[in-house]
Amino acid sequence: MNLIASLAVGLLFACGVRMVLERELVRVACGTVLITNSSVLLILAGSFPERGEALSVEQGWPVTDPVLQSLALTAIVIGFAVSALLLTLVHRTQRAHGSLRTDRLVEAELKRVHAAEKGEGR
Amino acid sequence: MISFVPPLSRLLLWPSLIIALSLWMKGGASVGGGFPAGALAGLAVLLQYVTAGRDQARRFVAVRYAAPLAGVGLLLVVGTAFLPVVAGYAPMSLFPRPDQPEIGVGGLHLHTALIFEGGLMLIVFGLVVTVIDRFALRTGGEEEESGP
Amino acid sequence: MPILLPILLALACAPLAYVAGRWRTGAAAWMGALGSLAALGALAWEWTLGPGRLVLPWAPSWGLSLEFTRDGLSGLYSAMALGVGALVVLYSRAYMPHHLHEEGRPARDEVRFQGLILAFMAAMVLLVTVDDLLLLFVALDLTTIISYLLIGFDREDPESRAAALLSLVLTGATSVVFFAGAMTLGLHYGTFSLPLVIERAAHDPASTGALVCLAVGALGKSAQVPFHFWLPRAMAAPTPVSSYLHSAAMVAAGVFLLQRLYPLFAPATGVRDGLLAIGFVSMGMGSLMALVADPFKRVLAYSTIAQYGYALVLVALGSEGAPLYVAIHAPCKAALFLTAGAVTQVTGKKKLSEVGGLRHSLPVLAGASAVAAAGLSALPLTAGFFKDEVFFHALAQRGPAFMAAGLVGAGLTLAYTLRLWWGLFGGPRRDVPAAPRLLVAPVAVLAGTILLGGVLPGLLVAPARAAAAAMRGEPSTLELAYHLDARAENLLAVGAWVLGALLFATRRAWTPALSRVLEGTSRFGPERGYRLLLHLLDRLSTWLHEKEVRDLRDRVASVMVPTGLLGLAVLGVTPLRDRFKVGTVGWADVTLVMALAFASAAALATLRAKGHLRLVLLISCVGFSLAMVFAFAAAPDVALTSVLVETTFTLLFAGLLALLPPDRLQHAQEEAQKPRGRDRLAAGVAGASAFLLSWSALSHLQADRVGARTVELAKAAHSPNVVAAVLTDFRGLDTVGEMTVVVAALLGVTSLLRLKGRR
Repeated sequence: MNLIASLAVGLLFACGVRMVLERELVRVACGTVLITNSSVLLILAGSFPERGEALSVEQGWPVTDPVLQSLALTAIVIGFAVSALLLTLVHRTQRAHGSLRTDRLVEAELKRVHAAEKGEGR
Repeated sequence: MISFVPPLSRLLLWPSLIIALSLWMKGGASVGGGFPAGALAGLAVLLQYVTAGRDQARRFVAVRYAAPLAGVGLLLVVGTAFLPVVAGYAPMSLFPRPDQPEIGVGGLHLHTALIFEGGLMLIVFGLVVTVIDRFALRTGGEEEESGP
Repeated sequence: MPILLPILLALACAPLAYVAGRWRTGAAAWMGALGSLAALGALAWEWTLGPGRLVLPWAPSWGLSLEFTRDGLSGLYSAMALGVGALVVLYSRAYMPHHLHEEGRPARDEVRFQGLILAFMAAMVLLVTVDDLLLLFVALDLTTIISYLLIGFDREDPESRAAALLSLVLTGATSVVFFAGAMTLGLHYGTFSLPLVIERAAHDPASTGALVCLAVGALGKSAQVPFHFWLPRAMAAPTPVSSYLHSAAMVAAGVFLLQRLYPLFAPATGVRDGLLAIGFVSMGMGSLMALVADPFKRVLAYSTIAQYGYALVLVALGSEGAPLYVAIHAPCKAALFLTAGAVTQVTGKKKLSEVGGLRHSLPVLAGASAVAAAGLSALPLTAGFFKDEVFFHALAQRGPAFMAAGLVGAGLTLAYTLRLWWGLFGGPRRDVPAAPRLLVAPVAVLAGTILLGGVLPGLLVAPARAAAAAMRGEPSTLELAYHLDARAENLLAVGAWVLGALLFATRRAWTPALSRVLEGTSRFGPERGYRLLLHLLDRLSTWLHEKEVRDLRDRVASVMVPTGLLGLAVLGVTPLRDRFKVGTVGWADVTLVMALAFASAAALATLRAKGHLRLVLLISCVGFSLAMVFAFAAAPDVALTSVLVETTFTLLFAGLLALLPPDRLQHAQEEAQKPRGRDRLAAGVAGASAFLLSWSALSHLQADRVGARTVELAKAAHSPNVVAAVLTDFRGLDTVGEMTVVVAALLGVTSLLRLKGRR
C-alpha cells in the first residue's frame, strides 16, 4: 500500500512539474494544481494503513488520524485559494501582454528592461 | 425552447443554502464544518451566475457584499482566537472550557467554535463569490482589448 | 514611565506635523517645532529627576528586553537633536518652498520633507536613549534609512539619488558590521543589555574582533577615514538636511556609539590607538580638503569630517571632554550650514568663488554666522573656546608630538573657517535682496546659544560632567573657565590662532599647489574602489538577469531540479536498510487502489490533452478521483470539501477559458505541444525524488501518534467530530493563519480584477 500510494504521489508530482515547465500559462496553472493534489494525497496517505472510522468512535475501533485529515483539509482550502489567485493572474497577464506564452512574456520583459537601461543611460 | 434549467437552479438555491448552514451548525458533531459549508454556499451562488446571469445573481445582498463578508469572517476568526487573551486566557481558548458544562438547546450545542467555523464559512464563501463575480463581469461586460 | 516621555513626544512630532500639513502646508513646520520643543521640555523636566533606567520585558525567555536609560549622554545628545531639530524644521519652512519651486515640485511636498526630518529626529532620540545592543542597532538602521530618504529627497536629480545610495550603502554596510560586533558581544556575555555587558566585560574584556566591528560601524556613521567620502557627496541634499544630519544628528551618532560603548574600549589600548590614528588622519585630510574646496557646503562637509576626527581623538584618549566637544560643535556647524543655505537661496550661487561682499545686505546673518564661525574655530567668548580647551588638555597629557598635531589641526580649522566666512561676506560690496526672517532667525538663535555658553561657561559644566560620567563610568571633575595664565592649553590656543591667521593671510600663495596635490591623491582614494565595486556588481547582476530571465522554464527548472536532487541526496546519505517497506494490500484496499490508479491515469492523460477544455476536465478528473480516494480512506470531511472545492474550481477554470480569446488559446495550444527533452528529464527527476521521499516517509510512520491523543481530548473539548476539534481547537492558530492566506488571495483577486479598472 505504501508503495502504491507513493507511486501515485510521485506520478502526480512528475506530471505537475512537467506541466509547470510548459510554455503556456493555462498549463502552468494546471501543473500547480496537480502538485497541490499530490501533496494533499501525501498528507492523507499517512493514514492509509490504519484507516477506520473518521468521526466519533467508540473505544477500540481503529481511527483515521484526525490530525492528518485536518492538515489535508487545510491544504485543500489553501490550494483552492492560491489556484483562484493563479487563474486571475493568468487572465490579467493575458490582458496586459496579449499572450499566454511565457517566452513572449520574457521577451516583453527584456525589452522593457533594455528600454529602461537606455533611459537611464541618457 | 424553454429550458428547465433556470427554474430548477432557482429552486435549488435555497435548499443548498440551508444545507450549507446545516453543515456549519452540525460541523462540531458530524461531517461538515466551515470549509464545506462556505464552498457549498458559493457553489449555489455560482449556479445562479451560470444559469441566470450576473444581474440576477446580484439581487442577493450576500452576493453584492461578498468581499466585505469575508472581512467580517476574518474578524470573527481573529476575534474568537484572540479575544480570550484580553480575558487572560491563552489565545485560541474556546468556551465553554473543557471542565465547564455544555450549553445546549435541543440537539444544538452552543460553543465558540461555532463562531470560528462561521468565520471560516464566510471567508470561503466570500472568496468563491468574489472570484466568480469578477470573472462574470469580464465575460459579460466589456470588449476584449487588443494586446500590444 | 517618564523615561519614555521625550521619545514618545519626539515620535509623535512627525505624524502631528503631517496632520497639520494636511490642514495647511505651512502649519507642519510650526507643529513639528512645537512638538520638538515640548519633547525638549519633557527632557529638561526629566533631567531634574536624576538618572534612571527603564526595562520593558520583550521576549524574556530569550533574555531580550527593551531597555532605556536616562543619563548624561542620552540627555546631552537628545537635547542637541531636539533643539537643532526644532530650529532646522522652522528654517525649512522658509527654505523648502523656494527649493521645491526650483525643482519643479508641488509645494505640498514640503510637508513630506518636514515629516522626514522629524522622523529622523525621533530615531536619533531613540538611538541615544536605548540601553541595549540590539535596540542600538535597530535605531542605527532607522537613522540610516531615513537619511537615505532625506539625502535623496530631490528624487528627480540623479546626483542626489546617487549620493543617497552611496550614503545608504556605506552607513548600511558598516552598521551591519556593527551588528556583527553586537551579536558577538551579546552571545559571548549572554545578554544584550548594555549595563550587564559592561559589568561582565570588566572581568572578561571584550574580544578585539568584536570591538573592531563596533568601531567600524561608528566610523562609517561619523564619516571617518576610510569611510569619509559619502559625506561630501551627501551635500547634494537640501540644506536643512545637511545642517541637521551632518552636524548634530547622523554623524554624531557614530561618535555617540563610541562614547556609549567606551567602557568596553577602555581596556583595549590597541583598538584605541587605531582609533586615535584614524582620528588624526581624518582631521588632517578633512581640514586640508576644506581649505581648497569651492562649493561652500563642501567646505563645511570636509570640516565636519575633520571635527569628528577631533571628537574621535578625544574618545580614543578617553577624555572627559568628548561629549562636550560634539555638543558644542553641533550648533556651530548647524548655524554655518544654515547660513550657507540662506546665501544660496538669496544669491542662487553655491560656490565661494561666485559670492562675496554680502555683509552689507545681510548684516544679521553675517553677524550670527561670524559668532558661529568663531565658535567653530574656538575663539574666546564663545562656547567653542572650551571645546578646544578640553581637546588641548587631553593632548597635553600625551606629550609634545600630540600637542603639535593638535596645534596644526586647530590652526587649519581657523584658516578654513576664516576663508569660508570671508568668502561669503567679505570682499567688495555686493547688493542682494534681504533674506526672509525665518531663514535668519534660527542662525541667530544658535549664535546666541554659542555666545551664552562662552560668556557663562558654568552653564555647560553640569551637563558636560554628567555626560562624561555616563561615558567613563566614573564621576567627572571637568572644569570650564577662562584662565589668564601661561598654561599649555592657552599657549596652544594662541599658537593655533597665529597659525590660522598666517595661513589665511597667505592663502593665495599656497591654494593652487595644495588643490593640485589633493586632486592627484583623490584619484587613488577609497571612493574609486567603491565605484569600481559597484560597477562590477552591476555587471554581474545584469549577466545573471539575462541568463535567468531568458527562458522562464529554465527558471522554474533551476528551482525544481536542484530541489529534487537534494531530496535524493538526503535519501542517499541515510542507510537504506528497512528504509522502504512495500506494505500490505488487503481486499479492503482494492477500491482505494483503483481510485488511485484512476487519478494517476487522468494525470498522465493531461500531458497529452489536446484542447483546453479537455485539459480542465482531466484535471478535475484527477481531483474527483482523489476525492474518492479520501472517501475510501475514511476521511469524509476531506472528501466532502474536496468534492465541493473541485466542482467550484472546475467551473472557475471553465469560466477562465471563456474569458480568454479563443484564437489566442488555439495559438497557444499549437505552440505548447513541443516538449523539450530536458523538461521531461526535470519532471522525471522531480517525480522520482517525490516518489522516493514519500515512500520513505510512509514507510516510517510513527506508531504512537498525536492523532490518537486528539481523539481522547475531543470529548473534553465538547466536539464529537474530532477533525473539527483539531481544526478549531487544537490547531486553531494554524487555521487562523490559513484564513489569512485565503483573505490575502481574495485581496489579490480583487486588486487584480478591479471593478472599474484603469486598464
